[in-house]
Amino acid sequence: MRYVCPVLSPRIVRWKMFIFLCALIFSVAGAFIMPVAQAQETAPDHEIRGTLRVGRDPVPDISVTVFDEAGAEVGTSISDEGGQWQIEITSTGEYTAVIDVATLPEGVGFKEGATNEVVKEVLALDKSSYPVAFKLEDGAAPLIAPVSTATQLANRAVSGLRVGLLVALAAVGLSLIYGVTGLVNFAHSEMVTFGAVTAFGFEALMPSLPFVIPVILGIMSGGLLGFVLERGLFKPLRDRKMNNISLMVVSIGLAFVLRYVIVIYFRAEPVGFKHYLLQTGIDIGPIKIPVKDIVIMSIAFFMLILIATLLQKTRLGTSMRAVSDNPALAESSGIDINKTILAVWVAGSALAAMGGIFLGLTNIIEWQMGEKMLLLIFAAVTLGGLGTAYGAMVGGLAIGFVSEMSTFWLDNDLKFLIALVVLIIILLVRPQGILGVRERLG
Amino acid sequence: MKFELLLAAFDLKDLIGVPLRASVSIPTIVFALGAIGLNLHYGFTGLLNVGMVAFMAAGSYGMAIAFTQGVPGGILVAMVCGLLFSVIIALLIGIPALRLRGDYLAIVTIAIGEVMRVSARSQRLINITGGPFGLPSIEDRGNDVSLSDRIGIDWNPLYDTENPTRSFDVLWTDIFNFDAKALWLMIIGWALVVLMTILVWRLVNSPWGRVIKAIREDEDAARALGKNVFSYKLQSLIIGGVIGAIAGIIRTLDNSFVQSEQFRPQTTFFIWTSLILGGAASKWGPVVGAAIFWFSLQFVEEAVRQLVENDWIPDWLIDSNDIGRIRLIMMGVMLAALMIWRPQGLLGKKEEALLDVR
Repeated sequence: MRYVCPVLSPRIVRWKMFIFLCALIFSVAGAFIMPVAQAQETAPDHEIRGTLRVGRDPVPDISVTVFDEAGAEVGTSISDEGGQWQIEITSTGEYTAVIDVATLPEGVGFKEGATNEVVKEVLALDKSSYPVAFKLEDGAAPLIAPVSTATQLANRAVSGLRVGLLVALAAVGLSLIYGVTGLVNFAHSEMVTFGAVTAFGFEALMPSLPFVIPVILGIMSGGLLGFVLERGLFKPLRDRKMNNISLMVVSIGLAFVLRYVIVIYFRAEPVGFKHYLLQTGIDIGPIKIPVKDIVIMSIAFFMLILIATLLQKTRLGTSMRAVSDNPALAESSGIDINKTILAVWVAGSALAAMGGIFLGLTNIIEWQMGEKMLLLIFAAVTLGGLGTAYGAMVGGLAIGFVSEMSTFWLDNDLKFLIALVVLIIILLVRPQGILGVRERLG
Repeated sequence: MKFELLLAAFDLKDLIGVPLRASVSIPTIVFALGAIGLNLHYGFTGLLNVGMVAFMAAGSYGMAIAFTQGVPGGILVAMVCGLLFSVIIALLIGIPALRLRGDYLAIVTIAIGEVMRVSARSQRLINITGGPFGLPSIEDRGNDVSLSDRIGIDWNPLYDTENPTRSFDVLWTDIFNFDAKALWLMIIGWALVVLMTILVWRLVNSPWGRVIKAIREDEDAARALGKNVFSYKLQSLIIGGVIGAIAGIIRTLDNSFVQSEQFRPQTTFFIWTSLILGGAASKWGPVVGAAIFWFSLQFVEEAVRQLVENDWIPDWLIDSNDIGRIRLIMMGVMLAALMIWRPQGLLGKKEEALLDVR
């Protein structure tokens, strides 16, 4: 499908397109740079709320921001005439409410021992509101210095690295499967959920054993699911000479079946692993990070290095790359294609399961967790180049990092928009991705 | 004897009546319109659009926002705004993605659908889209009119001011019993379904339609004949997208509110399953598919509900909270099974349904 347009030369078209698209994106983005409005009349399902008072007088126009335990912003609220503020939350976890001290009226400070930060643990979403109280006082106490921008950026960067590593773990599998079979597997997101959910189940079954065992069992179940899907569904369908587009639609159907079977037999409410549910962070320079995050990031990083090494050095890795590059040639050189594809499915699913378990450890486990991550995974593999394992790693890190960093300037929920903007720009400028080969596309 | 026992467990009137009623009412119309648009994309042009819901959202939100912000000219102008918004979305999707191979288009379309939904529920847009709460009642506060009243009462020839709760028994049974607003919307909706089906059929049998079918079969060949493939694909994406936006508008007129959760990706796949079931690239496939699909979903759901309520299915297997989820599993199974065993659906031709965009 070589790109030959009879009317316009490719280079000119691409630049015109690029400028046009930038204009469109900016005009859409412009709509978001409008002031955040006051509270709505209808109450959300769960919220963190509070009333700001000095003595008995309510204090209006103070900006309160709530962060989750990963340090990502959940939302910002400005206190109203009655001193009330509220921010919607959708999951359990440890939240920190922070007053922007710059918005405090002159002479108002905090009582002795109190700061502009209050931590609220939400263990279960059984109430509609979780009150948080700040101890404000007129005069007396000096203001606490706000957290510097550099510190915030550093923390955001670390959490970006963490998300990036997890996205990369999941994306490698999707990209490898695409590489060897040509299938864009929409059910990959369910592999992520499946890993986390089974590990949670194993943890509940054997609460006294060390946490490593349920994790390993969860990863193995992920690999097993990959095995079952390849042998039970996709290999027979490939043998029927079904094309990849039809198989992609089949994988969409499969994703729905898996997702809703998980809701029915797991649960609809989000949960967390019993181990390491709440861990207070340790300070490394300006960065505050829970120990579990350090462990997770190290393991994920080590895994990515390991995969790269295996792909380069082992026979199986070499044959994976060979099949991905040219299946016919690989087969004629004596590589067992079906065995290679099976290995890729098992490894890719196990990696996705691992990503899901780690995501469940740092965030929450819920049936939609994979679905929510799918867009980031797609953006990552497109950025890196569909079908290339190293591309997926680089793309995953980049997408995770960029989308998390964007929460410094934009709302938390707009990070998907950033992932999409990256996706579109890449498709315009270099559609084969950073590490992709040009022939793949056009 | 066993069979009679099982039969006795069902309330047969509900078991058949509820799905029958569903298969002529608004959801079927919405999915039929969506499937007609998708048929132009996937069936005739070979575009793998898995973000049909983005066009529906564009139509719904475009109309609702234009109306609540008090666009001069009222509802009809607001609807045009919704349609124009869907054209913008089509351009936004099409310009970067249509030059690429099919699976990339799939990724971009599903991504744009999700981004529309996430953006609509953003706190920043709370004054325009209502954020996570949506627009619970679509009202033009400046002129003091609500969309629901305008459609359901002022412009409704079936509405009787003497007897506002009057309901209509269509045919003789009380299965097809609708209130004035629902019946009025159904008449408009089915008229639009017929109109759009004929429109699409005329389009694909015109010289323009022969080009898009040629693009579906072999893009390079069409290009070699001097056709501007990109432009044709973009036109098809826009026309089908506008039909999708009409589907969204009809749904919003029926619900009288918009909320971002109405536009989850599963809506797209309901439409896909309807289309594949009826038969892609056929004339009446989308409509027949939507009706049968909706009938069978409701049938299974009703059957499971009755079985659970009568304790024929034990609670540990499925309890009453899970019944709504059965339809999504059904949809997934049907989509995959149709693709595997009958890709041409009920009315399609096999040689037109097997498409390999590579």
